[in-house]
Amino acid sequence: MLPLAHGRGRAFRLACAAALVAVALFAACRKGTTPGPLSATLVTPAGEKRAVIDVLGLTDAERAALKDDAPDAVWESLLKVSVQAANPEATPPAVAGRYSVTDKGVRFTPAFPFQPGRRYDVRVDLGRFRRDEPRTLTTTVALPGGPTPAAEARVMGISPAGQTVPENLLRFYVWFSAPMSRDAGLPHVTLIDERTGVVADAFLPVDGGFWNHDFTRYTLFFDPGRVKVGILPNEKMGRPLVAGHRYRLAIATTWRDAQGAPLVEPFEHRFTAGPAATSPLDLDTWQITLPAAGTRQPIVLRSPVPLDHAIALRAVGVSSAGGDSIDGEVSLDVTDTRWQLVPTEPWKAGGYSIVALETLEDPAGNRIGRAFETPIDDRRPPAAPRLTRAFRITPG
Amino acid sequence: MRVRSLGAPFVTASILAASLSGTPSARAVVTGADAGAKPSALGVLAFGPGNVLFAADPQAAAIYAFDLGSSSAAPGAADVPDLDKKLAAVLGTDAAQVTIADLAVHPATRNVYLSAMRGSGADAAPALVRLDGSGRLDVIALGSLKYTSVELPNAPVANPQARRDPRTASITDMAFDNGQLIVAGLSNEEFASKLRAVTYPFSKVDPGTSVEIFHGNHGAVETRSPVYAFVPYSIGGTKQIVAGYLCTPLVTFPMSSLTAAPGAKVRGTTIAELGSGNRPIDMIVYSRGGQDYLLMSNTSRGVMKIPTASFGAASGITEKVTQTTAGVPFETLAELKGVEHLDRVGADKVAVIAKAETGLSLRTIALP
Repeated sequence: MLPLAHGRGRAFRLACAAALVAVALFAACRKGTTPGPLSATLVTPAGEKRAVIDVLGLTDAERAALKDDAPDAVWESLLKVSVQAANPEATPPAVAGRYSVTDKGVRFTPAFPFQPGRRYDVRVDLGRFRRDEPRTLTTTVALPGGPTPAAEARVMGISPAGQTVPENLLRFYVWFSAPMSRDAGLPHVTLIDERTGVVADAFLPVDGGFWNHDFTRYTLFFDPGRVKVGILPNEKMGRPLVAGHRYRLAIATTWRDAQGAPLVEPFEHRFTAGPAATSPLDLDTWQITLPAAGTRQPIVLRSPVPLDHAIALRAVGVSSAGGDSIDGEVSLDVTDTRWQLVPTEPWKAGGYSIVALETLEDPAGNRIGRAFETPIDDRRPPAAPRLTRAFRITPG
Repeated sequence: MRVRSLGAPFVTASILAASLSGTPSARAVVTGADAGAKPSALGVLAFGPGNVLFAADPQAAAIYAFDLGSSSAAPGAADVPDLDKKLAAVLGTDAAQVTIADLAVHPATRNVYLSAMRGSGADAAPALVRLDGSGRLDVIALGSLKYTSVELPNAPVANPQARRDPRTASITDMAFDNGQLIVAGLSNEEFASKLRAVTYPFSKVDPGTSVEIFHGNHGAVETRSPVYAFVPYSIGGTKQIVAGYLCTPLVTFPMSSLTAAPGAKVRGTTIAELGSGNRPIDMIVYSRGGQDYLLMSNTSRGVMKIPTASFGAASGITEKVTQTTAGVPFETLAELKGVEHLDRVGADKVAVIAKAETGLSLRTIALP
């Protein structure tokens, strides 16, 4: 009975399958074929990136008796590949993968690539169904470990990058020069108050998932329970940033990049906390610098207060009077107050609108027409935020 | 220590530049095939009709509906005391290289399905693994499953270049209810959740709504906060969403508000404050002795058992809360230590993944 099948019906099916293999192999043996020595080696087939294990030395009859579509549990009783355990008494389960019969023997293709430097035990047991003699092979295979990856990634910058940030800042963005690992970021970040030392529990203790799509930008959320006024952690510990204090945000080289290498050098950003930002954004307060018709000059919008850098890049746009979006290259300056769009096509004279999404925020979460924290007054519900502002480009 | 300072040119470097166009959109991009799915990551899971398993790809802000077909795996799911080590061995690595994202129990076979990431660097790859009644862990070959997928709108999307540095919507929870998949998405930028109703079979995605809440610990102030776990649940004959927010208000709001007109103001009713410094992980509803209960696992406040009987009568917390918790009564289950993920197994049991000093274990226990 195969040890890996326990459910009754399943055990019966697997036993039948194993028995068929056994009968076939036994018959092959009876025919008098003299089997050669077995071998198991790691090879990378031509045109493939992934290493496989090829088991060679099977007789034609043995190969003929094996079926590609046998259940994995049956295959594992004939060829088992497992991660070499630190404890020799442990019997780890088989590594998942695909088994196939080749014109020379049997191939095991792992579901996930073998890891360089990791040792894998291979046990072949074609003799378990033979009645005359054992036919087994036990060996260990490993891909070369490869060199230790060199440090190449560094922190490129922080946003908001300004000298002063509001004390109710919700988040910092940290940009890296190369893709990073998905490991937790918080252990590598320290916030230091130059008066009182390390600020404990400053950041949201929820890690992972706050990367951009290519793992080059990490969002460091402050603990909202401390930022929002009146919540218990805020009342007990106060805000992580206090207006008037100077801070250092330090990032250690222990933060690993996607290759597993540390950062090239530590990073430090110095800033001062200012008064809390509690006012809603208002498009009417923005200055517009108009381009000339017939040119690809940028349209420049200047906000009196900094905008959230990442959101402003995707939540502000320009549309024509007909409602068509104006395509182009958008950027924001280092102060997060100067937004510009360089159009793909020259401007035409006519009416346009600045269009903002409702999700546009400043670094403290205040939105157009609505502060992050808004007193409830159902007698006077807030008006819908005005998210567009019209302007005209006159003929040159 | 060398101190780097920012120069102004940094901001206009290509890593920060993005193109976009002006108006919001809720276009649904639906794809499907008999094979060949290549999700970049796997996150939360939820079962749909028949053998359909919904799996979120948080990195691509997409949701896959995999047709698992039938299997000969032994029904049920055996307890696995050393789940992290055994799963890692099946994936050809060690436990430090494996992150389990979610657990879901097949309603018919009661096999447990686990979503996980193998590796954390450039070689990171998603894995879907089935645990059966014999204790066997089988890697499901995602590329061989029939599937459809839908991308969540990532407004503004009119200009394809805007996708060069798209917002990441880390999907925090999903539930299938009456032909609709409800999705809670958490942005890596805005501090808020978008809840969306996605019709299945995939055809359209509602624009979604961001439900504002009254944070009872907070005085008479409204604010935004992300949803981490939720269940659809009928209260007084009306289908509601019961949602657990960060830090940890428990909030109800009508399911119909998910399809409210864009810009419509939706405010949830905060029926409990379950403690700060915490986020919910998973949530289920079950019945016991004619009474319904909500069972919720948390990052730092244990597993909570919350009778739902008073949900309909709860008027909502509108005064400042001076205690750690407030609102509808609940019980923290001392015997369920370290529980991270959980899902219901039939009417009487629950499968839980618990963390201890020795690692992760998976077991099926009677519902409390």
